[in-house]
Amino acid sequence: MMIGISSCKKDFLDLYPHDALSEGTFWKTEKDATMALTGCYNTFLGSKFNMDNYPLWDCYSDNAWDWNDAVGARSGMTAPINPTNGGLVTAFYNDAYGKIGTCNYFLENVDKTPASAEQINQWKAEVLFMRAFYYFHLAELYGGVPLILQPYAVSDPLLPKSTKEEVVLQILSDLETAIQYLPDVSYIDGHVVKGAALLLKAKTLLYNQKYQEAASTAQEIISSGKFHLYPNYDKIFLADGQGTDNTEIMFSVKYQVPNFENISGVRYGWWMSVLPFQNLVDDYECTDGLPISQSPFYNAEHPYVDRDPRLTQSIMVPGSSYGFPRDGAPDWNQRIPLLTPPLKYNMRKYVEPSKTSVDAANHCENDLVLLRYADVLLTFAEAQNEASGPSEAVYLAINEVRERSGMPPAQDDPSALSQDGLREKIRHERRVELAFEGQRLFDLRRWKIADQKINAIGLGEAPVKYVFQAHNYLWPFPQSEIDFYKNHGDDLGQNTGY
Amino acid sequence: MRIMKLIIIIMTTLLVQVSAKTMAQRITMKAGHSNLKKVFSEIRKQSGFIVLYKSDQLNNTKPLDINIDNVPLEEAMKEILKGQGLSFIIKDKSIIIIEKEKTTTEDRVSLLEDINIRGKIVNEQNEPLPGASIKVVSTGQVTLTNAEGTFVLQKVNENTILQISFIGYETKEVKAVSNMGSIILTQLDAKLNEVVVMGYSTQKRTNVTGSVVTLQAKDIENSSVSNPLQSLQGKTPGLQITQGSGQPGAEGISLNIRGPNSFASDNGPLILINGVVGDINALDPSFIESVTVLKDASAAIYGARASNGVILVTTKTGAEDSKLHIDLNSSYLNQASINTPERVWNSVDYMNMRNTAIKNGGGGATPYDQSIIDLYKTPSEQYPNFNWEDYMIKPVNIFNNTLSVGGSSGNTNYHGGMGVWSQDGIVRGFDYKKYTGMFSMDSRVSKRFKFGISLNGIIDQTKQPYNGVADMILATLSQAPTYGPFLLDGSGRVAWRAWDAEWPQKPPFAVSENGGNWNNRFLFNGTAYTQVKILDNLTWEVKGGMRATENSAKLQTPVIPIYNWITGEPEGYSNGTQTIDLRQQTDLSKYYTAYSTLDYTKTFLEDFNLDVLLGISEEKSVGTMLNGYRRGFASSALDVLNAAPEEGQTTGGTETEYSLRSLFSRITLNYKSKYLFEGNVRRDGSSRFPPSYKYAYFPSFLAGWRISQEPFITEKLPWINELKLRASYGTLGNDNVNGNYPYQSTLSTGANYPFADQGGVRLGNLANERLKWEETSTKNIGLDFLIKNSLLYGNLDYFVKTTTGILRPQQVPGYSGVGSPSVNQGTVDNKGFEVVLGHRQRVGQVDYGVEGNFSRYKNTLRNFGAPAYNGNTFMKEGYEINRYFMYQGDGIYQSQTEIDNGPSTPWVQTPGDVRIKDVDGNGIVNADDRVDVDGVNPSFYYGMNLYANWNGFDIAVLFQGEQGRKVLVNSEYDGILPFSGGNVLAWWQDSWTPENHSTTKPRMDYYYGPNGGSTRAASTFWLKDISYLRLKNVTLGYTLPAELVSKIALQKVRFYANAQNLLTFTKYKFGDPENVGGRAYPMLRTLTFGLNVQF
Repeated sequence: MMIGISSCKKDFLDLYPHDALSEGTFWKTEKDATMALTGCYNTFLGSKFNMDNYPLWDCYSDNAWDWNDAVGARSGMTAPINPTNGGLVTAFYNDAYGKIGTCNYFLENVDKTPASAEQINQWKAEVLFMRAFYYFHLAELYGGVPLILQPYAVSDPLLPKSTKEEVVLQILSDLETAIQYLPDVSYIDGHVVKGAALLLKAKTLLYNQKYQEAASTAQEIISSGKFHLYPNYDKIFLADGQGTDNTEIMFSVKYQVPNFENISGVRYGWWMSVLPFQNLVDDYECTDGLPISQSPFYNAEHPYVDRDPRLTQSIMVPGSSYGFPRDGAPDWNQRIPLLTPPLKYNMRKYVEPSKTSVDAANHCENDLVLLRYADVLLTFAEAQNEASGPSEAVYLAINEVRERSGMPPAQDDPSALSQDGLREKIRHERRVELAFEGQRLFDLRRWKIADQKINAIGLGEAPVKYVFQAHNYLWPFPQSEIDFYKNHGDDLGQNTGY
Repeated sequence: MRIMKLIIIIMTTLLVQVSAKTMAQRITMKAGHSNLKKVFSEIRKQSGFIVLYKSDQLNNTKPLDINIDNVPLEEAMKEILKGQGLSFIIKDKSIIIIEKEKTTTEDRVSLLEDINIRGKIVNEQNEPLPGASIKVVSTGQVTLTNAEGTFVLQKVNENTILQISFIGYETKEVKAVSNMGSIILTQLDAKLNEVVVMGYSTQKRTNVTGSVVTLQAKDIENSSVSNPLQSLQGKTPGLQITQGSGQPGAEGISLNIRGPNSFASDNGPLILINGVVGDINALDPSFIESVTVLKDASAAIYGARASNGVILVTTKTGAEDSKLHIDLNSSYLNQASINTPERVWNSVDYMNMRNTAIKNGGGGATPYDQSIIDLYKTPSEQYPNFNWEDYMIKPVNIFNNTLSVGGSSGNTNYHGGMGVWSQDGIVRGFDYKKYTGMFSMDSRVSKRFKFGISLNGIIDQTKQPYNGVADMILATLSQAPTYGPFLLDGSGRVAWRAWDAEWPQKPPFAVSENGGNWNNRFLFNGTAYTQVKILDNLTWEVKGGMRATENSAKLQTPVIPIYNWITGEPEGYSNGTQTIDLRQQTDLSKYYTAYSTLDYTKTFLEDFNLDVLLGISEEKSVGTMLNGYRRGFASSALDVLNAAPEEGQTTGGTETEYSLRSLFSRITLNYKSKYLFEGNVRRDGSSRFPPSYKYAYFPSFLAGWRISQEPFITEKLPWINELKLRASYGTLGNDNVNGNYPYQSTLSTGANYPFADQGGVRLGNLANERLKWEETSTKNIGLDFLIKNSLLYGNLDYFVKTTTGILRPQQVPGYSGVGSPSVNQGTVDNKGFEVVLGHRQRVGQVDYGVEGNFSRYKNTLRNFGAPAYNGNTFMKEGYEINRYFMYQGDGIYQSQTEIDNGPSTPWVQTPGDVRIKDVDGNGIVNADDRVDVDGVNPSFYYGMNLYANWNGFDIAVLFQGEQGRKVLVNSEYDGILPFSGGNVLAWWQDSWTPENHSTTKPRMDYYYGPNGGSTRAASTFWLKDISYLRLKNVTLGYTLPAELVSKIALQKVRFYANAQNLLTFTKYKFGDPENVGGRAYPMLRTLTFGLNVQF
């Protein structure tokens, strides 16, 4: 009787989730390895490098205003950045290490699977690229950081902070291995290719003032002939320009309807999350290749006419018929009154013209481009100019980028003939070519002009003044991390000034 | 398996005893010259009956010869004792040897003569009690007293026990003598004598040693509410009930007993219905017989899940010995919103204020030209003052019926009920329908065998607009009064705005009519038990219960073309949505449990009453979810997935399981009901913990001393009817932490990527193989008293609770990368007290009473680790959980000089802005100037109940309130800041201007404008005290005289009127204090007129 109610099953209390795999039985087959590798790629979809976040990084520069405070730039850039004010400043640190942890877990375990050494090396190379990618951004933003290369265990002692040089050495070493084992092909299906690792290496070298090596690494990509500029600039960022005929994209975060959709249409078209500043608009040259201050083509009455085509390909300007049409009515104009003056521009890059209703705009599948060939050319140009001044190769590289958009050669601007002048021209080119691609913030820092450029963003451009203090060249470590070290009798060492 | 062993032991014991009882008591014996001692031993062997005697009784006995064959025991004994000067009685399983001449009266029962007895029953005032019943316990013979209170009983055994009872008086047992004289019955206090449902058993109120609140049906039925929890509010000291929303079917009621225990897991109490974990929301309030709230260590019998307290709900089963009665309750309800802050729906005022706000906020050109404003100076159909709030939020009428049938027939009593509730929301687009049913019965098949079942179920449908409450309220408030819902041309086209600067979120009426969110629930709950009295004092009960819930939801997007009010030009689609999408989801949850208890009661040494309960139980629940989504439906009438193309469809599904196996025991022991002791222990095994920590013990001890039973009270201070000191200590557990698989190291699937082969996995959280239970140790000391028959009564309780091992993610360095493992780390304590004071009297024909309760607790985080800051709150040791942390508001800047002389701030400051205090005095206002402030928890809450009855009239009034809780009201969409959530509060009409230097209302600001950041910032300026006192419930009733209704063959007819939330006293101006926030569904004021008829 009483026994009847007691099932006495030994496993009555031993229950396991049905939608997860047990760690104990994993890493037994090749399939396990590819699933885990996919898991590593998946980190991009939920990272600060995804379509939801990455275009917003420019709001931490002099390029744009973070209207919805989506990455905390509106609050972070208007009040002095501090270790507790959140947003990208504190979130990126934890986010990047989350991805690094996934990479480390893969690298630690993949050897257990019965795949060929060759196969395992290629997988590892892909993941090493990812780890280097995350460390690269960490080092640029925070300087020296803790260098964790194995999966974390709770019993591990606290890691001291490595110097930025040590972190850079590790990045280069990871990339060296990656370059060795990655396939030397153009980028097609989302898997990392050798060219991407080379570009990341070139950028790492350039950002760390190793100009000659940076130039030769970039040259290696150029010479490989695997990558070319795509003829339509604006299509690079939209789904129908991202087919196999686009050999400019070298690495991107992939999206695919219906299971891997992004909401770029809503976020950037409808919510207007990234609102460019006037000074960025003004930086686009006139069609004669001269700045608006010098060009006779510039007409203050019609400021968006006869300008570098990338202006209206990247930005919705007053009068633009782009955006979110309401039953065919022209539209950006209609929405400007919603904004707080002096804001009047919206980002256009990434906004699919075919996804202009909210429901469709929630179902976008354009990939987020992280590395592309134009950056190779500009990296080469900059590194080469820094290393040895203007040369035909330098002009060739920068002009290739300009020509694609119908802009005249750089030399047409007489100021671009000297090394210093060319430096400015290249910097200008990077800004307009790579606007909203998360580059500006890093460029301002490594060129040490962030304070000058950002503090110039006054109330004439932004609703609230942007502030950049001398110590902001390195972001603060999140207070939680500082506290953690302190609570464990250690000191991480907050970056100076915070 | 330890449980198995234990069962076997219980079983073995039972079987032995049962066999002893049922063995054929016939004796066969053949012996010559044997002594009695040997014979008795043989008797015992053959019958299983123990023969009890004193050794000196055998001193004078003679050896005997005996030869009996298959003779009944009684005859055998007579034979054996013949001529020995001894007699015997058989009692229970014992044969007691007695000396013939010295038998005590009690042992002589069968030998006594029958007598006739007479007596009179009176109350303490020596007034006769006509109709009192006198029952002869041994025979069941019953008589009643006559009008003079006297009775006569014929042919009753002398000294037999008479049980005298009268409704409202304490039942008394006396020995029968021929002239009984006057027997005084003491009026009982219902509170003291009620039977309280405790875990797995019941206790008399007087014997309860825990801190327990009990409510009876009459306390619950009075309020006209659909959710039983609403009817408890204000009546349960120590149980804090907050209703978060007025939305029908989704009242958002949160429960908390004596302060939050944990910062990491749910703090809601465990709720059991008829002993089985259930959903109280699924019951109609009229089904409930009683509710018991276990607040302290008395909950320990529920071990693993008791740390947040336990609420035991018992449904009605019909009284024994009652005749059939049919109850029909029909009521008519009127509901309206209360405490919605006044907003500006006058177009001219609205436009002027909006112009001012935008100008002040630096928001650019003023949106309304004077020429536009002038159009509205004389309102017309084209240029209206359209009040969207009145249009969207309207009073509604509800007709509600419940029917119940109860009674008993033979040995079976039963109760069945049905309720139909159909409630339109006061906000358009919301409604709720529910059908509830219940049936329960108990049947005493024989003296020893009883069984019963109880079933209840609900079918309900909650309908709300596509995006739910917050969106709908925001949509309503974001409208301008300058246009109406439809174009005036009669085309039925939906108007969206009149002027370019207006950007209403979406047209609320059209959204309430198109698309939507339907949630259909079917819940069935059933329990069944059998109870066997194995022995007179040993009861075995087996109970099984199951609950199945199916939730099926549909979510369909509204597609609404919208047009300009003035021009009629198309403005696109509401929210840009042009295709109809549908998401369907089905959630199934199944839960089953079974438990078995053995309950042994024994009185020994006359005055020691022992009750031992032993039980085992098992529970398991499984939840599954399946959903699908398609888009591009041709029409909103097509509301199943198959009606749309497969392209772009998605699906999802989950499943999760949980099981618990437990062993529990309770021992209660009292001496003369004076010294009370109770011990509980429970051993729980939970599937949520790793093998080595699966099981945990939860013990508790409770003691009570009824001082009023001591002679120095009964003799010297007899007006103290009851005085009891209680104390309890116990450990309670919580396994409801971090999902169902918190310790397991697994790779989560779903880390996919759009490769050809998309499936990916990733390490989830680091696992902690040493995960344990959260434990709450609780101490309570209490005092119950009742003076002069309820002239004053009350309870005082003081408690200290400490929760340790709070399960939370371990603090790991950020660079660790992976999700941190859950660890048992964190301590929270709560200290507080509760007071109940009451007074109840009868003056003439008026019965009346007052009862007030007061509760207070203090919550402190004791062990947390590094402080964590989260927006405007922080977690820091030494402070309460989520203490407020923000800038300190310091009045309002009155002049530019004041700004120039003040500290620098991160904002553009203008006179009229809120001034933020430079707390550290360094001349710069920054994040370092934030201060911590109390007010997350109330400093106390309270309730007061008043009632009176007179000649069929009854009135009951309930006040309820809360003191000292604060809320931050500045946030976007709370609608406090002008035009942040659309409209503007009338509160701003006399705000700061250069001419009007207000010190309490800052300059109008525009949320989306750049200036005035300090007015918008989270500061104590916007931290508002929401203390309130609410007239929660008033009931007025009249019951027709019984003589009258009996003429029309009815048992009872009562008319009543009830008002719920009639008045609220509060200084809070921005909404309802219980349900704060500009986007909350308004609270309801309900007026009810009802008729209750009993056939």
